[in-house]
Amino acid sequence: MNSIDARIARILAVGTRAAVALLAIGSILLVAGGTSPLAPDWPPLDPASLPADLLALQPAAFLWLGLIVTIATPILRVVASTWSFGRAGESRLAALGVAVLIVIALAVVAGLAAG
Amino acid sequence: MIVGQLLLLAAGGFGAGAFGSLLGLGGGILIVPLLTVGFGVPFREAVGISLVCVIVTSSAAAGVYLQRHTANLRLGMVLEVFTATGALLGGLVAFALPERVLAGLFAVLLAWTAFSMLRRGRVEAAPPSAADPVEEPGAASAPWGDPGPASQSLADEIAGPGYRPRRLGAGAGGSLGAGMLSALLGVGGGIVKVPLMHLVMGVPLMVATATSNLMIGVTAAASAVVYLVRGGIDPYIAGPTAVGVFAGALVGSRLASRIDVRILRLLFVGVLALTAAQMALRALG
Repeated sequence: MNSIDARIARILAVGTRAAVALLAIGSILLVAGGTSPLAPDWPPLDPASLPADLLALQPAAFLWLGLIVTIATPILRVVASTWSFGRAGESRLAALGVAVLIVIALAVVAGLAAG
Repeated sequence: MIVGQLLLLAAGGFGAGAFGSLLGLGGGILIVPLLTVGFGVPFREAVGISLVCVIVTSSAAAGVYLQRHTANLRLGMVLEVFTATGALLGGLVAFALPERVLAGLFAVLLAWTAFSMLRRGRVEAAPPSAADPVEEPGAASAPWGDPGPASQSLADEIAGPGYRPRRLGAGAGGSLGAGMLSALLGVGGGIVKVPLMHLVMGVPLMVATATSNLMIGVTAAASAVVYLVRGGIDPYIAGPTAVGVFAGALVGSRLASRIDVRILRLLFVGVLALTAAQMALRALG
């Protein structure tokens, strides 16, 4: 149990720091490029162009990636917990973890369908 | 001017993160009013940004709670099924409700939070009268299903040192409601989850607080996914605000032991009451 807690604590710490770093870089690039953070319009999230936009130092790309990492961090925590509980033979808790992941997958589908 | 706007957003986030950390609240209760009243951001966009900030503070704090073995990961996993389901439903409903209704709901939440903080202050000022409820193993009231004498019940599986969560059905129902609240209003929902786990399920207060914090990230992620996919999160505002919240929460957690939180709490109750009035006016048009 303690090793599971330690592993998950590490995932959360690394994920949070990476997300905050990306958001900070994106924010600095944004104002350095002369764009107001209160601008009424912002470029939509386009996962396909994200790698190229990152290489081109586009501020929105860093901000979007930071937001994705932020949201993915607790989800990754559930994945790691589920895997750890499954390996430890705690099938009921592993099944609950799978149920949480299914709900999150449904959220993506529902968001895409409604959007 | 542009740099000033960035710094103002980051400073606002810093204040929300620091106050939230000092007073044991998520930043969400402050970020939505900050963005809507302070920066004129539409309510639904403010909720999307607040969810991101709530995930940042939850992930940062939950890691520490797990390292200290304060959070009950197993209990969190059980209740997360319901908070995440509630968050999914709330995330979908939020886009169907008029913003004035959401503002009205938020005003009620602010007023309730102010009332709870005043009451908590009075409880803390009074001498301790009762210990945390602890249930003897095997005496839990009706956990889901009874797998039989050969296998552990779910309540046994999620028990911690000195306590065994009870009334799992009520915990599940309350968690569903907390998830909806989180998605609709961009808050962590700890104001529901902590009393639910502590008073209804018999979990010690410190464990309930830490476990609630752990659950907030997943709960907010389930609804933030809906907001993200539907274009409901403004990355330009979310970036500096989330960075500010993160820094503020770090500083707040270090100052917590050096500041007289009672005075801070009274000040905060006043701010909450004023903000509730502004939100109510917004709801009334």
